[in-house]
Amino acid sequence: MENNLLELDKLSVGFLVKKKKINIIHDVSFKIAQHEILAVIGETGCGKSVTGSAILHLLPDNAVVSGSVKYKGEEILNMREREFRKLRGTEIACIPQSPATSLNPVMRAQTQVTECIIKRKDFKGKKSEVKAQAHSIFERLGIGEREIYRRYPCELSGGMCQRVLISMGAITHPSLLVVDEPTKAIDWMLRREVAQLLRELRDSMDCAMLMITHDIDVARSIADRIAVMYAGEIVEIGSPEEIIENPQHPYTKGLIASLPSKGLNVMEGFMPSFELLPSGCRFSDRCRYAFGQCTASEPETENNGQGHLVKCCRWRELETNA
Amino acid sequence: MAKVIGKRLLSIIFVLWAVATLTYFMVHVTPGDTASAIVASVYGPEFIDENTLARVTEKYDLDRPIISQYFDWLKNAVCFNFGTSYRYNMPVKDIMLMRLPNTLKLGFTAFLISTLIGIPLGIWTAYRQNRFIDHFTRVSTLTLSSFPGFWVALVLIIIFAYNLKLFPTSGMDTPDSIVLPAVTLSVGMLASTTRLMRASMIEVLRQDYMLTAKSKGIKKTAVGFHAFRNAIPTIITVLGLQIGHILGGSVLVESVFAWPGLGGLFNDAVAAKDLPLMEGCVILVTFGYAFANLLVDILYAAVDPRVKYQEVS
Repeated sequence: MENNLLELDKLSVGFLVKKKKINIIHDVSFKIAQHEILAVIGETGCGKSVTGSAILHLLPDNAVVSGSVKYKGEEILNMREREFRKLRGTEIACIPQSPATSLNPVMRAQTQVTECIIKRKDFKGKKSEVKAQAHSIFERLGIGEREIYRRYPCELSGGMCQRVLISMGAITHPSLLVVDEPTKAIDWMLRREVAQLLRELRDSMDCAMLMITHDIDVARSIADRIAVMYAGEIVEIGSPEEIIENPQHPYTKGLIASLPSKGLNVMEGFMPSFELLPSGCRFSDRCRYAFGQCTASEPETENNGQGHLVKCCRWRELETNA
Repeated sequence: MAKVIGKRLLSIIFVLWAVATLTYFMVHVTPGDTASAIVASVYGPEFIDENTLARVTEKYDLDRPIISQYFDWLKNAVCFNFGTSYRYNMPVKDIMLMRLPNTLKLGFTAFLISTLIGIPLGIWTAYRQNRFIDHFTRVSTLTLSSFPGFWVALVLIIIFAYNLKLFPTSGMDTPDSIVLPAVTLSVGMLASTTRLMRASMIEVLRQDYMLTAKSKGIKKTAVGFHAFRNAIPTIITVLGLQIGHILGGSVLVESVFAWPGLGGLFNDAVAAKDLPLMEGCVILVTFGYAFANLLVDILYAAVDPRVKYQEVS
């Protein structure tokens, strides 16, 4: 598998709070091939964004990371900040979540996009060229009106701000884009549009994407593969059809069943707090199929043969029973 | 924007009137006979007798009811005529215009010192939050500002003028005589500038857009600029309020250092019960303060687009 762009192997992240380490992400492993869109879905607070931040080196100072993150075969998890800054933007860029707060309120939209190139240490070209480049991206994203360039974020709508954020991620032509909740703050109509834009962007720029979202609909419409996250662990990875039509893990089953189109059967219970995780399988206290072995030891991640990974010790029996 | 400025100007006029009226009556209810104070300060206390007192009372219309004196004075003040100083026997306006540039010079220098040290220090300590240098700066600037101004002035005079003979003790004869009064005046402002700059930077540094800026892979200074640009509005407010500190502080500092500015003039006016001069000084200081804060409001809208937007909508 040489064409893996990004390879996470047993990535764990914890935070030191009052000298106590609270583990958030546990043994997260996945691969993103070139040109692939991997969507990570899961509830709010399950650790999706932390995974993205860990890849981008944007975790707060009290974070403790372990495991390995390889980008184009090179280990980047413990890379020094000075080295990593060279990768940021040009190789790995991100589109941050919540457009309302992620844009600098006192800088014009255009400046915030062009500075991604102009304010780099190695910038040598012409500023006017970068401006033209920004304008062409703005146009492609449907915010090509001239006055928008010079506006401040407070003068733009949520959808426009989201597009400005997307332009920031796109202008440097990165090989990997980490997109954090692109559809969180915008309405239903725009969701589809933004998702479509991202897919077009991927095709025109030929980049891979790690898309973090809680929106299963959007994930299905644009992702090549979907990873399901629960309480800091990846419980299942597979193609969108597999995940949605043939979920293996009890959590994914519950998640899919709670979709409006699948009957709106809401799962019982809540995700446990990271300080009070059950022993063994992290889903065991909510799982209706749980039995002795589930709480005794952590389940292995197994492959069902078609590249569909499941982290559940009973998935085989459940499949035959179903 | 023009509408907002117009409104502010109207309120400045109201403030000026209120302050002028309050001062006028407050000065008149203070104990002591005005006529004898004038005679004492102009001719000397030994000249106080019935004859001179009567002449002075007649000359300055001091026997008329306060209310009618007040309205006459107000009428003149609207035309920038603040009357004649009892002590200097010169129009108040001319004396003030003569002294104003000196106070501006001193105030501006002090302001520059505290701002040029306070802002970089605030930024620097914000990036080193809760480390040794942060605590050290906080304690030392706070200690410095807690010292009363007259004491700082005396200590500076003893060390730098008397012992080291680096600067003159008082007056305005050489260019370097501004150093000690300006430093004295700036010490009081240094702590608030530093601490507010630090607090405002820390607040900005934990905003989402700072993560965005960092994720762009741009130069460290460019990321820092994102933070600084957002911290400016807060600091402008503080700097505006400090104009008040400068104007108030100048009374003390100018008296100690015999600096020929408005503050010293005001001090002399109070001592001599020179009513027109006192009134003139108070009005000028009030105007300076109100005007500085109007300027702050305008600047605020210039540096923060959200302010303009809120006013339009």
